[in-house]
Amino acid sequence: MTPLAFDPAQAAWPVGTDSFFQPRRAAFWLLAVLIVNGLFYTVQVFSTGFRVVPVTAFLGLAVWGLYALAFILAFRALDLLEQHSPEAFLLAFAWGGFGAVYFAAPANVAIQNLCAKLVSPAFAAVWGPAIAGPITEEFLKLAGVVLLVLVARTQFQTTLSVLIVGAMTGLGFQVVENLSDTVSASLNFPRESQVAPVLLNLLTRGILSGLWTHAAYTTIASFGIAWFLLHPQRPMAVRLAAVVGCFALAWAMHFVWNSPLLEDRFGNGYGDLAALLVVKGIPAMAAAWLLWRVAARENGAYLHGLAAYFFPERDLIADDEWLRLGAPVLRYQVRRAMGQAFGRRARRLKTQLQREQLRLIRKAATYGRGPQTAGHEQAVRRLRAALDALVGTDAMRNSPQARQAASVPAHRPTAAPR
Amino acid sequence: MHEPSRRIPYRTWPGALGMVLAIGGYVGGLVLWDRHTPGSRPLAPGETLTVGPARFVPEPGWQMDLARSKSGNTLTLFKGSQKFQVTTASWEGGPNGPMARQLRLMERGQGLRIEGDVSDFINGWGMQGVTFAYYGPKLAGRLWQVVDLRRKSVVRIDFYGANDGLSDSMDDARRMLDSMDLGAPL
Repeated sequence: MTPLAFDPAQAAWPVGTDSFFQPRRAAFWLLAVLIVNGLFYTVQVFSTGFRVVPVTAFLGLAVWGLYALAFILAFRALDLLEQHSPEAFLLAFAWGGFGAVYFAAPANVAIQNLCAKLVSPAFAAVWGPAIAGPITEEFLKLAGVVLLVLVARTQFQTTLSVLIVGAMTGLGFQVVENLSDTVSASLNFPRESQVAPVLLNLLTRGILSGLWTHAAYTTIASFGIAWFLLHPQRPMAVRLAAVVGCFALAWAMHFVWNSPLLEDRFGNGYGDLAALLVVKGIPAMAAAWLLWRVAARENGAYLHGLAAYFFPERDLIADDEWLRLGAPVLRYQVRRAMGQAFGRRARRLKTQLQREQLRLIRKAATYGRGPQTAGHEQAVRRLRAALDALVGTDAMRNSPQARQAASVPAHRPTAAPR
Repeated sequence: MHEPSRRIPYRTWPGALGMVLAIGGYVGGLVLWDRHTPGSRPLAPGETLTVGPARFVPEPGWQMDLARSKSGNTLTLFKGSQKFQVTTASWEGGPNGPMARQLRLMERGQGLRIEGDVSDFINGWGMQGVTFAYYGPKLAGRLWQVVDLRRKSVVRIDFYGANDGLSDSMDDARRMLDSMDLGAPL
């Protein structure tokens, strides 16, 4: 093997990336203090809900907890959680759910009060949420993304690594806001039931709106931060324009969502409500999907280059696996096809193999190839051997699903000495 | 040749300070602006106010609190530190549900204590419901609640304020309540 480890002695500064635990950095302490402060506030607010509508509060906590888990599992299925260590996602989620929510509450109230005072209570009732929510919430959620970037700048080497932190921040905000609104809805629900408000909120805020609310908006806004961070060679004005442009896009999507626009074109039934939510939400979802796609392609090119440079051996990364490095959906489809053809154990092994390959590449990208990546290399070979033993070459040949999933012809460049 | 990332030290305090100033300036600025913006609207003598199905005539000297009034479902009047708030909401359950929930909210959620028993009331227009007085460390008040099963609505009238001077304004509150009926067109 050609040694490709970076020589630490040749560098003025140590090779590697910073962790998200940075007790010597002001940004870390600011993030931590504001999260803890928000946590106390949120617990205090929910304690009222637990005392007054306990069934709603407990059921809501369980439902929205499972809802958050479903999103996290979806992120994991697409290998997005491989972008950072768990503490990054924990901090992002906590900032969205506690830090941002703490500041959003008084700011939103102040704006809505000002709308009522300066225009009229009727105007505040109709347009207040559209005026207050987007500017306040998008700004505060994005502040958390900026703080996380400040804490560990070197962790953010691709657009995708920023976007997933933004999405997690938005998810935290969304879940805590949904829980809070569920408790409020229960306090004002037009029947005695404490269960119905939870189910109704799950349907409207979770299922019909979940894909195109806060997680999508913060993803859009975070794209500007990523562009600013990863294009230092561009003029500062252009980089700032990217930040402002993406923020404006997220704000606009959020504004339309909160506004009464289009409401008069739909009736009051549940079907009309569902149609309205979908019509309003599709632009945000489309924008977020487009940005995810751009980021995934960029991430794919980044991984392809690194893998071709560091790991030319086919037993570590086969050609078809190399081709799918930047295509999380294709990787997921391969795993599923593997599971359908050879059972759950094969699917699990394939999943582990794919993730170990990503970790291997990322480790090599940070520290170079050498003793530090040997453990990952061994793990990849061990997983491949276990998978081959389970699947078998003959079985692979006879299974159409596995053939379709696993054998994609690829032209793989070899940028590094073999 | 791939260039590795290097752990080059950098300062975060200017950025962190910038974020503190941005968040503090935004939130604090809005709160201050709100506090320093007058939010009252004088009411014409004899003017009938409507909120949901409820309509009533305010007593002289009371003003509308614009920030605490939401079009169609909440109307808040104030005089000094005393507030008279009328809230309406839809209700499709039984007649006792809203009161049970309100008592839970005030006793368990807001830490208020109910003074005496919940009693029935009826005003000059035949509007009837239940009422009780309450108190807390900083405020006291009386709440009247009317459930209209036919129109599937509940109307809550909450008169509250600082302990001092509450009894002086109670007569105003009772007169406003006496002038109330649930006949406003929806």
